[in-house]
Amino acid sequence: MTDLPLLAGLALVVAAATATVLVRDPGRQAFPLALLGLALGVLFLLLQAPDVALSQLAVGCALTPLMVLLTVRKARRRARPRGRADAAPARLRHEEEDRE
Amino acid sequence: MNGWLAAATALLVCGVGPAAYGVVTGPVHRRIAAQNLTTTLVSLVLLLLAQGYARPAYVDTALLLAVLGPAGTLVYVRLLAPDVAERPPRPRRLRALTLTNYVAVAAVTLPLCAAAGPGRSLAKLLVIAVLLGLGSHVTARAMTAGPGGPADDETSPDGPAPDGPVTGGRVTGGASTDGPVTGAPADDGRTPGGPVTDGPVDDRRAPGDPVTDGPTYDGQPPGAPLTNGPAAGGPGAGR
Amino acid sequence: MTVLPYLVAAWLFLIGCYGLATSRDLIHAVGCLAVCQSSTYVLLLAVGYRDGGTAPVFSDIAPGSRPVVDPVVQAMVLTDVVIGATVTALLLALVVQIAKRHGTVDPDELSELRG
Repeated sequence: MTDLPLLAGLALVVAAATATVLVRDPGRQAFPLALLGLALGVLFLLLQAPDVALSQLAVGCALTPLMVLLTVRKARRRARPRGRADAAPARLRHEEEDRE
Repeated sequence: MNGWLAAATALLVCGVGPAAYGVVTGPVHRRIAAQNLTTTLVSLVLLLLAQGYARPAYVDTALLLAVLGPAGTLVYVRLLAPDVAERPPRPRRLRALTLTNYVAVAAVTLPLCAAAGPGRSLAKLLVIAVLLGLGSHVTARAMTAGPGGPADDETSPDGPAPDGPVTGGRVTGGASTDGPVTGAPADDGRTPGGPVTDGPVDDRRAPGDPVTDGPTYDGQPPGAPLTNGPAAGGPGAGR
Repeated sequence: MTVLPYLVAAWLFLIGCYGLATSRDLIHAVGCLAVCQSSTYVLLLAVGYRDGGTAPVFSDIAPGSRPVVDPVVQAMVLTDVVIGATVTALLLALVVQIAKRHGTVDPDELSELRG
C-alpha cells in the first residue's frame, strides 16, 4: 500500500471530507460534497473496485448535489427567514404613526 | 509504478488539487467553473489509471463520469442561477478555463490513443474525449447565457411576495423591493426614515415604478367617475 | 504504511461526527452524515485490498491469471453506497417537512418539544 497514487487519492479524500464539514452554509456545501464523491470514486478505482467506483460516481456527482440544492431551495422557501423577526416591530411602529 | 501511473498521480496532485481549492472557496461562478474542470481532470485521471493498471475495464468509469459530470455541473448552473447572476463570471477567464479543459483532454487522450491499438478501445477513448469536450463547452455556454433572471417564483432574489408593511397599497415593482424593508412609504405618505418626498401622490410611486394605470391615491382608476372625494365630501359633511 | 487507509477511515468518521455535533443547520448535518458513511466505504475496501491485486472483474482478463482483491467486501460497499444515497434522500425530505412545520432548520431552535 505504499504506492503513490493511493496516497494521493487518500489525501484528496481527506481534504474533500474536511472541506465538506467546515463549509457551514448548506447551499455552498453541495460543492465540496460533489468533490467528495469524485475523490471517493478515484479512491475506489485505486483500491481496485471499478464497479463500486461506478456507483459512487453516479450517486456522488449528479444525485447528491441535486438533492441538497433542491432541499435548500425548498427549506428556504418554507422556513421563516430570520430577518422577518424585524418586520413585526416595524409594522407596529407603522400603525402607531397611522393612528396619530 | 509505470509512466501512466506517474502521470495519473501528477495530474491528481497538480491538477485536481488546485481545481478542488477553487471549488471550495470563492464566488459561485468560480466554483461552478472549477467543478467543471475537476470532473474533466478526474475523468482523465481515471483513463490514465486504466492504462497504468493494464485493465481496459476501468475505462467504463471514465465514460460514466464523462456523461454524468457535465450533467451535475448543469444542475448547479440551473439551481444557482440567481447567485451566478449577482456576480457573473468574466468572459475571458471563463474562456481561458474552457480552453484549459480542451487542452488537457487532448494532451491526455492522444498518447492514450497511440498506446491503444485500433479497435473498440480506441473508439471508446474518442467517444470519451468528445463527451468531455462537449460537456465543457455546454457548461461554459450555460454559465454565460444562463442568468436571464428568475424562471420560477421561488428563485426571485427576495423570495416569495414579501408580507409586511411593504405592500400597503403601493404598486410594487419587482426591482424596487429589497431586503430589509424599512424605507417603505406609508399609507399617508410618511416614510419612517426613507427618502421623504412629501405630497401623497408622489409617494405612491417610488422612483423605479412605472406610472401605470394602477389604483391612484384615492383608490379610483383614473378613468372612473369620482364617487368619493368631492362627492363624498358633500353628503358626508352634510350628514 | 499499510495502516494508512484505516487512519483515513477513522479521520473521516471523526470529522463527520464533529460536523454533526456542531452543526447549525440540518441540511449541513445531513452532509456530515454522508461523510461518516464514506468512512465505512473506505474501511471495507481497505479490508479487502491485497497488494498487487487487481479488480475481480474478468471481462478483460482470464480468471486466475492475476491475483485479485476480495470481491465480497466490494459487494458490501456497493450496497452501502446505494443505501447511503437513499438515506440521504429520506433525511432531506424530513428536513423539508421540519422546515414546513417548525419554520426553522436550526437544530438548536428545535430543542423544545412543541405541543
